[in-house]
Amino acid sequence: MQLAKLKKIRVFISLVFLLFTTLLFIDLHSFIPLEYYNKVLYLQFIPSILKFIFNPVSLSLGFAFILLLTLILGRVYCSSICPLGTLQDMVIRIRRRFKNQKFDYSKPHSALHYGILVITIITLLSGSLFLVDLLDPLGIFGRFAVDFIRLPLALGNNLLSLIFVQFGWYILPPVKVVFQSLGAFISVIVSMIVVIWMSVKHGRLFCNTICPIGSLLALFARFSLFKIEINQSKCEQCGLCEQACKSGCIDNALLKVDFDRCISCFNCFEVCNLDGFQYKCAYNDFRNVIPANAGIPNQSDSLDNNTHNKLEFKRNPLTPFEKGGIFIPPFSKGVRGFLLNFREQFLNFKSIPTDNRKRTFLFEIGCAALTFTGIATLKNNNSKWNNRTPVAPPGSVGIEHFTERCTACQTCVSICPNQVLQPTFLDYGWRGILQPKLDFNAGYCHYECFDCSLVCPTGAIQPMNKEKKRLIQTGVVEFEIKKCIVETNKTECGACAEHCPTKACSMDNYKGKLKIPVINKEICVGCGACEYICPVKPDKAIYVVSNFVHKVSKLPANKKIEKKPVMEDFPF
Amino acid sequence: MKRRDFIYTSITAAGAVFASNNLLAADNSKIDLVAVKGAMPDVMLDKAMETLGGMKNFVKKGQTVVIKPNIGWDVAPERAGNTNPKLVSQIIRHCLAAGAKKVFIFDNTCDNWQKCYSTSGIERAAKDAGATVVSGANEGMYHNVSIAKGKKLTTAKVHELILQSDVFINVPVLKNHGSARVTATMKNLMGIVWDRRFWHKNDLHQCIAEFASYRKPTLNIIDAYNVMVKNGPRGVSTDDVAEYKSLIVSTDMVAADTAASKLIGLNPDDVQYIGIAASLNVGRKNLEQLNIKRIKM
Repeated sequence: MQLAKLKKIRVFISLVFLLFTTLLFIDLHSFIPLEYYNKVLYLQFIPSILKFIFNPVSLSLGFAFILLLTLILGRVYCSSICPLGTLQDMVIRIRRRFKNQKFDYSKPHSALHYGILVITIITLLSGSLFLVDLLDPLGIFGRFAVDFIRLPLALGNNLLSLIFVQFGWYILPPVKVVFQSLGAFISVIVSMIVVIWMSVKHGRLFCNTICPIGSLLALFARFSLFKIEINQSKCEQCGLCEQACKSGCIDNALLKVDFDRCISCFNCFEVCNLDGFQYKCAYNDFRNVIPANAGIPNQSDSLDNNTHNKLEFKRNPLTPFEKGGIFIPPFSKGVRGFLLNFREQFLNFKSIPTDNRKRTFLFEIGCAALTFTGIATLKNNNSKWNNRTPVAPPGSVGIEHFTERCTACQTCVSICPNQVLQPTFLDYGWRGILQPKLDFNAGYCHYECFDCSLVCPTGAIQPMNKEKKRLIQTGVVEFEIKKCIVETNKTECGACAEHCPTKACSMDNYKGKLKIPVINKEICVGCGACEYICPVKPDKAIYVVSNFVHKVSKLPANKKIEKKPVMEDFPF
Repeated sequence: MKRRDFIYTSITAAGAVFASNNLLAADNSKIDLVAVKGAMPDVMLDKAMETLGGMKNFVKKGQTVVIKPNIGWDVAPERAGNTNPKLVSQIIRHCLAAGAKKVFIFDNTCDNWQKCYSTSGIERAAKDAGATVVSGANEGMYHNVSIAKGKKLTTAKVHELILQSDVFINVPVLKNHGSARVTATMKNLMGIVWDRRFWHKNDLHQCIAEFASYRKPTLNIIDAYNVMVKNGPRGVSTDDVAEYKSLIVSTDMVAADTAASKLIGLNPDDVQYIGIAASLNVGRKNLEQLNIKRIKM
């Protein structure tokens, strides 16, 4: 029973990954050096692949390692590395304490699962991260950790800090707590309810119906070197393994394991008393896998001639798919060709009734609609206070660059020392749902701080240094004198100039002896300190207008003062 | 009471006038302000405290002391945005030597408090000198107090260390300030209250002066070693900073701020809050009538 040990190893590895990943998101007192963030998150699939696609030089090859691993051992990523996967396992475990939950074999939802993958890829190609933001398991986990672990921890920390103070112990410093936008918060709650409900009811159903990484890795798991199989000579069909299978992929009646859906949790190894499983090198079966899915009878009847030809093309034994087992999407045939090919090759259409005309139509409508989440909503809007274009974090190059890369995992949100980075709901439009912005109600971006750029796992916020940070202009200051305290109350204020790090906002002589803010847009970096501190409510007298594409600001020119001899007499 | 006050002030004023003409007599009367020039901050502090009869005149054995430096900005010591850490640690040593039970350090910073505390060098210096460093970012530690003389600022949330400690030492750094003109002792008290936006919104100068009437610090020590003479209070670079190598110590905030604004080259009459504070009897503005010790080292 050597194989049974695999489960224990898997549990250990998954807990290590979960612990480390969680710690990153809840590190209230910045114990973890920022350079560790990218190391811990290196293997997270979607951030890694996004980083690689946009910047291959970054050597962000975590995803390639995962693919390789999947080609050897199956979807171990889902069982051990993915934090959301382990979180679901914990939910399942807790559930089992209350009720002896038994799982059954369930039919695959291939059309739904691969459909989501395809649509996700299409929306990605159109520049929208709508689905990635919503479905990336690291993002879901990160948002959960920030809202449901970090926030209560921070509140508890502050309460405890106050209690300690009563005893004269000034050991626990307080943490800044910001309550984020309601839309973002609700969406986190909804996604968590969905994930938890699915895992309580159906085990790892989320991973096998919704998660795009799950479906992508399922494709690779098909060709994995080692596969879990039932040892037909030893199995007595007791059914224990089927009941223990969180993925519902063991069919005890037919003695089959649907390895696409298997997340390699090795629970079956552990429960089997009869040595009834084997982790078998499946290389010899490799060729047999393809015909099982490739043949699609009578599909072409309901499609027009054009597609018919394409289908013919796909049936050609020399499709790139069969060469070496690595799937090369035939983009040369257009998105539609790619889709149809994909559907034919991977979605088990044999199980789908013949009214696929309707399905095809709906599918394509869905794709088109989601594609528009990428194109339609990017515009600069600075006309209304409440509907202003959000200011993207420094280092993100600009709104377009940022929204194309950010998976809304909230790593930056959790570490931002000033808590100025806050998740949005639809401020960037559908394509950038939940992505963070500089929220000048919550704080302001510190002039010399570039912590977010050190932790961003996707490269949405690019690495920088102090010198570079000082020159990044995320937005430009705007001043409305008619709202300013100095003008309306005829009293001094100057809070904005006080906070401005470059003196892009400074005080100049005004009526009588008063001083009024004057702005110099050239040296403004758009940090929002002026907007944050401006006491005029709710519409501030001084505020930052977002730069759609970030600019380079000028360094403030500063004249050296003339030195006076120190030892002259006191002027009083 | 009023009559007694009147007699007291006239006597001291007369004494001051007399003292300014007669060096021998000055030693015996109460010193209102000490100004030192020409040495390192800690050395100047030693000299000033010696002149004032030592810290034991202000800190009694077993008392708790709260020191409120300016730690408002995340800038390095050479930028002179915050109080000189050397001065802060020397004050702590004086307090502990005088028998203080505990010495606390805090400020309600503008920038992120952790960054301010560490970049300013004050956290390290204070801990090394034996003080307890407390965060000023804990809203629960601020309590509502009413300001008797306040018209615009009738209540404020003040940090409990100020409310509870026996001795309060106010240690601002002298800086130019865009709207307050000069920041020294009274402006520094903005760092012991929670909501500063209210002040900015409701006549900054009036609020600064009214709040100064709330509690008189036991001692005010103005760090004017490196002085930010323009682009204050945050400053842009070290080009804003001039070396003044000075220190002003007084129990009177109005007198200290008047002297400080003169030091930085401002007419104290142009600094509104000094005038308002003087009219609220927070302190005395007329330096000619005070007993000032001027020391060059």
